[in-house]
Amino acid sequence: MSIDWQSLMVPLIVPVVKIAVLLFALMTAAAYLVLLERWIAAWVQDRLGPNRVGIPLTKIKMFGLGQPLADGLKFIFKEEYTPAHVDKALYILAPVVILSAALAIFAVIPFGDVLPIEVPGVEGPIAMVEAPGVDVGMIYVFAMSSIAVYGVILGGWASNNKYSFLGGLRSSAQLIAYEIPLGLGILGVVLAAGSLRLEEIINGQAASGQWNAFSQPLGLMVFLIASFAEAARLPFDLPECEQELIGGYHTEYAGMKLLLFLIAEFLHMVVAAFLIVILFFGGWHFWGMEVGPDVTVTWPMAIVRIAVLLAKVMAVIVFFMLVRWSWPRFRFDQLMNLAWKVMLPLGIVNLIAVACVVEFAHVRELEGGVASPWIAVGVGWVVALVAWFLAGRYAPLHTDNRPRLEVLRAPDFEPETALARQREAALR
Amino acid sequence: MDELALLQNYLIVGALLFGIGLVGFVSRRNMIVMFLSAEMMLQGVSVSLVAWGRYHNDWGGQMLVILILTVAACEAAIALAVVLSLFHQSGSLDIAIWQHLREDNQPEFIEREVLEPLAPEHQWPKLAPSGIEPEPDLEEIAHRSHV
Amino acid sequence: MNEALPSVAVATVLLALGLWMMLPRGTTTWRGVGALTTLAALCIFAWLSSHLDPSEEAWLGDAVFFTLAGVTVIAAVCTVTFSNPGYSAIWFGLSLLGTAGLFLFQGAQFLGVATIVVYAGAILVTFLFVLMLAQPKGESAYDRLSWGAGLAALSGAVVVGILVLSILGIFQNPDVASRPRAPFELPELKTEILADQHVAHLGAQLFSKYLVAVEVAGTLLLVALVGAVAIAERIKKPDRGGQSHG
Repeated sequence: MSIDWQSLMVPLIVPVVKIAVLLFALMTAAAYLVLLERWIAAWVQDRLGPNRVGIPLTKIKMFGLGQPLADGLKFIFKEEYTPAHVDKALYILAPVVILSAALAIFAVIPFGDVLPIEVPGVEGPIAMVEAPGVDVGMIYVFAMSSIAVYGVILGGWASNNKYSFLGGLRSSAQLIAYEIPLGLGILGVVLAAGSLRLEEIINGQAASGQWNAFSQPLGLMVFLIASFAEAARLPFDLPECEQELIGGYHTEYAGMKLLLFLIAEFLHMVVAAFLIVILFFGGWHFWGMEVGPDVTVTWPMAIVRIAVLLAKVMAVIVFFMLVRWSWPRFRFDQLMNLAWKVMLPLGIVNLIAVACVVEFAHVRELEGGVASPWIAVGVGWVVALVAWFLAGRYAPLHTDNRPRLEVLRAPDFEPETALARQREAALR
Repeated sequence: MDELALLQNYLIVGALLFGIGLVGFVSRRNMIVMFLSAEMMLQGVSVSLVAWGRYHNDWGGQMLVILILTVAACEAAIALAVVLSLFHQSGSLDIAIWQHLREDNQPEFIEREVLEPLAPEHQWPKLAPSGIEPEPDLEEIAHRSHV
Repeated sequence: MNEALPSVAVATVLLALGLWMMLPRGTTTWRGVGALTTLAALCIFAWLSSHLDPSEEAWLGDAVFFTLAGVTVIAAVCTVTFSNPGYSAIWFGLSLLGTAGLFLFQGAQFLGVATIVVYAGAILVTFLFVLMLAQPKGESAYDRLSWGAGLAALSGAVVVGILVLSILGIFQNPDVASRPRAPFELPELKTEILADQHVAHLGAQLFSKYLVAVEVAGTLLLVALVGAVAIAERIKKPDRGGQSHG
């Protein structure tokens, strides 16, 4: 059996290099994003954040930039303790599953446009995607997010601990419930772009110069809220809040396994940020760039595009972190009601609106006219405002936790009789 | 591999999945595992359908698999509701409890095997209940810890 | 067909014996031997299928296929033979991943990822919920003791044997192999894994030629949703069901 090693290995070099760069960048990013979150938390809460650990073994404090290194070393050197009462196979499997799924999502996410490098055996410039040309890119992202739910369920169940179990159940129910608004937000974008490929979606926005955030604001809102819930960030982080569930599904984990869980959670947040930027904020596009299929991308242009994309992603990540310290968390039933009774109808309304606009533009083009892009923007914003107003007005009361002042401030309100009446009603 | 060999290999894999699913469905007593085996039979059929679709260059294979996916989802929803209902009434997921729903002339299945005892469960130390003083141990009282 | 009959017969018998020994029967004495026997049977099936294509140029494609098929079938055997139902569910998840890979290998990208999203991501998770809530331990007697294990293993293996025999028999027939394949349909079903516009063509087919099927599937989903909710409501309030029957 003669193996032609050269023709086998040469096309593999480019993806392997991309994977290596991506892994290194992601792990470093996960570590330093934790530091960024602590700085932002400190700034929001009007205190000093970590600012002591600079270069290790010296007294140089570089604004605490050595903190991730110290944290990483702490995790590595912590005692790897497997409790005796856990289901060992599933206990070890859970963090592996969730981290693999979180890393696998990055296979189809573009990090820029293309790099004008000529590699023998590979035609054309190198696309800044690990797996370019996957026609089902967006559904692949969904598939990997669905697998990540397993890590949560198995972690909660294998721990053989009521708090972990409850946390795992709640977390997986939340993740599954919010997958649907996520999909509905994405479907509007996919309709407008005509393809499931993330590179095509960016190219579509670049070609028309109109970002999807302007023409589908309702879709953006739905997707934003759903991605907060999918990343289990506040205000949706009931599954792992310390005040109620000790640690949720990662209570019984320590050392490297816990580090894997935390890294997976951060990677989910990074993925959510990337998706928001790519789907709704134009990806690497900024007005003033030369775009089009016949434009050759040179080195300066390529680097500018990567920089623009990463800057937008950083802005969205900072927004994620600011939101964490701004809102109280949802109660679990409020969370589920929000998913099924508010986000799902809003997503459907958005899909219908986008479908109408796209069809109208298509019909106009068939007749020979040119559909103005401002129609999409106008319809999008009108639909968004009307739907938001109606949802706010008629949403079920579970999503609203404000005290009923009209009852409390009624002139004949007596707290004891009201409580007694309420108790009687509950017992009946 | 050429198209014919690919088709045959896929059909063999589909046949294996179908047969193994059949074994699981007929022999396991846990309702959930029975359902998983039924889903495995559906997967075997899906693999065969996709192979045939590719061989004959017909999209119908993939279309049928999409429909199978839909039907499997519906079946999962209703099966789950039924399983929950049965669990609520009997307290266990054993399907041998409901064997009176079979045909009339079937011999009754009674568990005759003696199961091997599992490894004894770890005896966790029990904390003394708080608020109640433990019984005084005379030996401990009489023990002199110093000379 | 005649030249493959002895190997298929041997493989069938080995598969029946192996599965019978590995099915939960309350004892764990013969599980190791059963595992080896089942593995031997699967190897014979693999050997039979690899002899179908004598060319050795595309060895990497063959290796990928056999890896995927091996993972799928071995995970399927483990699903059926592990007594802890939680482990069964996880092995089934692995089998689904293998099947998704097999779909991808055929060029059916959408089906591959849709299998993972729907089956592994929704159906299996729902059943894991039920398992976790119903039996957190997984060591009950009905899990460790299956009924009719011998007969079930024999019938399953016989089904597999007959199917494999007929598959091999049909295509060894020179009459069938020489018959031309069905004429190409437009748009052509592109069979490369990274086909361009795969989803667009799939959507075009779904909404032109198979439109009625799509609509019926939608109605079926609605019916199933209503049915599941109705059955679940009965669990919560059983007297309501009794009253409605008068």
